Amino acid sequence: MSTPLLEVKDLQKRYPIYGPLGKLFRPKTYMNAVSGMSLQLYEGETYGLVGESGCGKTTTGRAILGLVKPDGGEIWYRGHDLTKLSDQEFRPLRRELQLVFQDPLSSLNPRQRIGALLEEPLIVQGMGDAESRRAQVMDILEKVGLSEEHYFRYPHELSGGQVQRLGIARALIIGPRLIVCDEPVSALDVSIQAQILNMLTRLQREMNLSLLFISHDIGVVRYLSHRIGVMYLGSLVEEAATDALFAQPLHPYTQALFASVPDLAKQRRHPALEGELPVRTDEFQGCVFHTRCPYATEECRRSAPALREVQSGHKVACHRSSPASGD
Amino acid sequence: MSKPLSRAASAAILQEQRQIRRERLLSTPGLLVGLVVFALIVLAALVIPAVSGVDPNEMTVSLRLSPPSPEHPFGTDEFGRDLFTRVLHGARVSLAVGGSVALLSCLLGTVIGIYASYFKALDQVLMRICDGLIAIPGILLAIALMAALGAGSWNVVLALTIVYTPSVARVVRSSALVTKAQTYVEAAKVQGATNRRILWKLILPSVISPLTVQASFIFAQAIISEASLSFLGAGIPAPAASWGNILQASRAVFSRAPWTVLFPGAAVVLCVLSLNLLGDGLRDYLDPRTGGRRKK
Repeated sequence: MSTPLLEVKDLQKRYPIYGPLGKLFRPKTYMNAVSGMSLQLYEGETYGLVGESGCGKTTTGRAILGLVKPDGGEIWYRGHDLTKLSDQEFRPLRRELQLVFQDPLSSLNPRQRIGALLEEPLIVQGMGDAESRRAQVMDILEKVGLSEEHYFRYPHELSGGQVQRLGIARALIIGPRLIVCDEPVSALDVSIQAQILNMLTRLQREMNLSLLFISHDIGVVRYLSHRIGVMYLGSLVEEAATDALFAQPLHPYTQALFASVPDLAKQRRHPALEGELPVRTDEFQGCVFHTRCPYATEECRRSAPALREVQSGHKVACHRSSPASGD
Repeated sequence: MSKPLSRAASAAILQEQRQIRRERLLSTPGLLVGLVVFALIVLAALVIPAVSGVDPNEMTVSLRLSPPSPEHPFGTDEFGRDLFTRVLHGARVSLAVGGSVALLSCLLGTVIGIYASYFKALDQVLMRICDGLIAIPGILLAIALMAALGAGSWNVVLALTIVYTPSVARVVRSSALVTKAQTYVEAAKVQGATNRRILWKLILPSVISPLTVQASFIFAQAIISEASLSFLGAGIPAPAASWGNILQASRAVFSRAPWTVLFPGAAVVLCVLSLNLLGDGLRDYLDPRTGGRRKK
């Protein structure tokens, strides 16, 4: 394949855990929110990142946009390592990298009318004069299915679906190439979700966007993504093209995740996952999933499996699936 | 798909924005009432003494402590000075001191508070200094500063500004911290907004409403503090009139001449009340969520 548009390499983000006396002493240990996370995103592609809450998928997305300072690893975007850039060097790149937030209403300044709100990114990036900016605002409003009459409304006067349309419009107006969508539809009604997702795919085609779509909703991700990465406890456990992944999930966590989707027609083949997400401290050893994995062996507790390609484009981090077998 | 707007269309949009702003102003009556009353007080303090030409320090001992009458609408004090003129002259001093203190401490406090909220290293330094100043009782600090600076109205302003700035900085910092954590500030960062733009365009407006409330409170507090300083001989030097001076002087005679307390006291109350209405109304006006909904 060609070179990826965005490449995350061995990303690391950890938070200190302090002892009972708080910050007076050195941290007792660290909680690794993201550890050894790698992914590649190609031009025009939708990459779905799934995992349960707390697995580090949002942190990964925020690190790409420079909202979280990673403790290690590299994020390459068109020849720039984003983790090494200063705010000033990052600024021109922000035209190309945008974020759609989970809670659209709180991501919009409540004191600004929609017109001004959409104009803001253009002003910040110094694009166009007042006249052409206003025309661009009208244009993008139409593209996301809002209209001129919304120009003077405040965000809180819109419905949930309309607000997320506005959030997407705000990300799109400066013509980005890559958009990180952080659970953009999880706060919406199912009927509205479909509308927004259809709009996203349409706009992706029209504007040749690449999407990193972060969600815990497997159905949504399956509908939208070309490739899917399954994340667990701070790193990727499996990655494959959407069809291949659903045809044959290899990692026990992926299998459990798929099995836990409510389905009236089928009987559950796997027991639903038991227990909670453990905390991945520095002392944590072995495979990330060994505490909840039904197949865990001594080896799993001792050493962490690497993410290996077992079939073309299908990567999995599990001792049980060897690349030689190739089944 | 793009259809450029004609000049007329964009003019219409701007026109409509002005119209909306005007309507919202009219929908907050408290703001208007406060503004009008306060403006009347300021106007009276500025115009009437200049026009009437009555000397506030002219004594007519034969008419001392005379009750309100057509020649002396507020009566006279224990030296036979016209109380009406003195209250108006006092208004000039009190308003100037209170206004300057409120303005200066709010400006200073806002800058300190906003920068402290946004830059962690500055926060530690600035806020510890503010904590230190707050630890000293306000009036004691003001007396100490007046002793060091010497009497005089500008020194009163300076001393009271130093006393009130830390509390403004605290209020501003706390609400700026709340705003700083909002997702829309993050969104602005993603768009590439500079720190300065975030500070002054996103964080400052969210601070305005607590600030206006704080400003009107400080205005009133400063008037009272100035009076206390005058009472202790550390404020505005004697024959010059201020509301504090007049109230202080009338303490000795108010059982025989209640008007000497009533009128300057009413002036203080009216002034503070109108300032509070102004602050409240301004808060409603600046917050689209309380202002806009009432119209619908």
